Amino acid sequence: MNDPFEQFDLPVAFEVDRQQLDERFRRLQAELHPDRFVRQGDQARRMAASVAADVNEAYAILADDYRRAVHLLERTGVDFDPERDTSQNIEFIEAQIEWRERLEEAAAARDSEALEAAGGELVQARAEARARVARALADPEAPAEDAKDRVLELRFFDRLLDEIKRTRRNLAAAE
Amino acid sequence: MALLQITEPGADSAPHQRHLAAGIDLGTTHSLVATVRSGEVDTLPDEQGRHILPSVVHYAADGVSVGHAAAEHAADDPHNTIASVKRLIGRGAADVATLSGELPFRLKTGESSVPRIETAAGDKTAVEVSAEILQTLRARAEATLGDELEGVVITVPAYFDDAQRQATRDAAQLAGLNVFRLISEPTAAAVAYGLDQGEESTIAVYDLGGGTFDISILQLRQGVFEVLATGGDSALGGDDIDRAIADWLLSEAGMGGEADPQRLRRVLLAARRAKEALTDAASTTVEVVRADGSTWSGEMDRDTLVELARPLLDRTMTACRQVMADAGLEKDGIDEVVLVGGSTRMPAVREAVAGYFGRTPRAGIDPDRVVAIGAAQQADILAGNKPDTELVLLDVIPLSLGLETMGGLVEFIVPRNTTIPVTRAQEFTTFKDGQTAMSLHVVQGERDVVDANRSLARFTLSGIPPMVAGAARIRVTFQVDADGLLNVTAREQTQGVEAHIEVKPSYGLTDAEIEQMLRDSASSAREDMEARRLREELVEADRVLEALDAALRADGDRYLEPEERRTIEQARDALRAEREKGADPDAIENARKRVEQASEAFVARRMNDSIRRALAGHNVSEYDAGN
Repeated sequence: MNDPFEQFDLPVAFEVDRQQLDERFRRLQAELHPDRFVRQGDQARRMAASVAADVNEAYAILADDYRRAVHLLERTGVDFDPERDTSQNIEFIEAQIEWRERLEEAAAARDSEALEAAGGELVQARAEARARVARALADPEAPAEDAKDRVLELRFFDRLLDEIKRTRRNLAAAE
Repeated sequence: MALLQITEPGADSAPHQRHLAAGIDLGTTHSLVATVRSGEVDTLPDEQGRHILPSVVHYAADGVSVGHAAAEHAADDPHNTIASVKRLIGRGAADVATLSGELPFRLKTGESSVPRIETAAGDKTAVEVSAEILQTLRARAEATLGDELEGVVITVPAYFDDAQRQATRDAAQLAGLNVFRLISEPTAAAVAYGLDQGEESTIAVYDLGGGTFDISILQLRQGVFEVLATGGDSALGGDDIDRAIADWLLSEAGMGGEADPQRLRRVLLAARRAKEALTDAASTTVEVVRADGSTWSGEMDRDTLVELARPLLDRTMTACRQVMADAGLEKDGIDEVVLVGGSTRMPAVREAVAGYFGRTPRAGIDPDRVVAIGAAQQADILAGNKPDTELVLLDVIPLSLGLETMGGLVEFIVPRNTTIPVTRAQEFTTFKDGQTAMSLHVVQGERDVVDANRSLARFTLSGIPPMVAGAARIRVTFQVDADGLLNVTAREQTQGVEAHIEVKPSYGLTDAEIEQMLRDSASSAREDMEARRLREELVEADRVLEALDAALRADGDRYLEPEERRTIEQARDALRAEREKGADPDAIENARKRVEQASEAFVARRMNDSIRRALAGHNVSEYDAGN
């Protein structure tokens, strides 16, 4: 697969112009979706499907902060294993534990208000984590391990926000 | 200017030449076929003027009947009258066993993974039964349009998994149909209302049919129709309302358990008529004949109907609430509500839906036909009859796909709601020293535990070179095409040894089984197998020749060295010669494959360039806008 930034002809950077990205995605799919080739024989359709899959994947990477950050790390030769790598920052590990406890308590007590309040703060914390990732990736002098830690922090917040969403749905469905 | 040139589906054909295409709503209780003619889209009636084809197939020892004729046998020959086969399609023996108590026909779950229905005409799979319905609709469309269909769009429920989609495609193949695309029913309904033309919107599709209820929340963003959530009740529909009315009529008429099945059917019919009359009238007169021959006659008003329907409507509203919670939406998050299914004609249903979502639902198109109509519009575009339309319907995968790992857990490879087509790969390794084989179990569903998900396929990758545990690198690739159909391949990488397996779903039919069915099926007995294959090859050859000539005209000079061009042209001329002879399907196929081989690099270059042009064209317009 080609580099997603190259595929979308966008500058290689953490910050992407979302509107430009979306418009190019649409334009590329309008050109390359296998539906455009249904009357041109199986071969053309198969090739279009493979190119369209590449475009979808590139878009998925570019549209997601965490996946885009990981891709930028890997581009610079940093070895990143999402399954094994964990943050080495003790302070952050402690913060993670606190966040988790807070959410588990709210979920166990079925306390929607506490959940909402935690969710709001989490969105704020995630925005700060995102800004730290942006700074680390923009700074050519920043050590790779440091950037990696910032990206892992961002992943932590994304996952926790997903969990909150799930908990909220479960609470709503149970009502 | 030449920006969209190569991918315009219609650009390669002569102007004014229309390509015949149709949309098919293959439903649980009934099915329809629709096409666009002279710019107007509508469903097609049979010779008696009936648009709806009951999804019922009757198998007698001496022949098959489909639709209204088949439904007449439901009472006198229930074992051979197959209705609601959609509930079985793509399902394995275990799923079907849980349904079999509710089914009037006899199921056989024997040697094959695909359950068979015992009929007077032999054992039939759900795929074959569905193919009979599709074949009937195909014949209707071709008789109306006067020629063969070039392709169709078939709708499937949004929640259909890979096995069910594959089985639907297999049924189409058996019926001799070329499937342009499978699209989801709620998406088709939204297309029929032109909602795909809008910018960003969130759409609720409320589909209350005869025997099923589906509620789907779609989100349209950047031309992608994403299914945010889907839910419903597979055993809830307008038929339940008919039964509730019939029970009321029986008690009003003082008829208890003495009513025999035939009289009950009459009462049910009277109930349905009353329900339909109350769509427009405030009250209606109902007559019921008692066992002693006397007639009970009474008035039924809309309030009574609403009261009788209330418990069922409440159940649909509960499902709506669950789906909204599942989608993480508040009621004001819905921009459009679309009604589908004959039962949504009832004013009580419309009021309940409008009340819950706080907006007037779209109901301008006949709710029985709206899905087929949306499918027909999409088929018309895909056939190339609307070269100016840039619309591409992107779909997402409805359920996550993954592999079983240690301890019966699932490793998800493609999460739900990923835009398709998509290709994702993941690496696995060996567990024991010297391990030379690895068995892979592909599942679909959202749960972390394998057993809670649907098992799609199992296969073994063998020939892994012996290594210490953890040293082998097995790359497993999931490819999902635009219809949501999955192909899995596995390959050992470290030693350059390649093993490669393609899987079909566990509950699917093998290619050999399908071929056998093609030979056996009543529909294809009418036409010779070889003649059919020859016709298919001729169509494909024409398609390739037409596309290649257009491509050479447009870009031959730009992308081909004279030598390359000669090679392609030689292959093309050989194919054209075989096609002109029009006698030998194998020869035509071989010649076509040689053309495809010769032109592969050419096709790839054009495709790459179209990406560049798409992006460059965009830059130019931005530049223009900036001036």
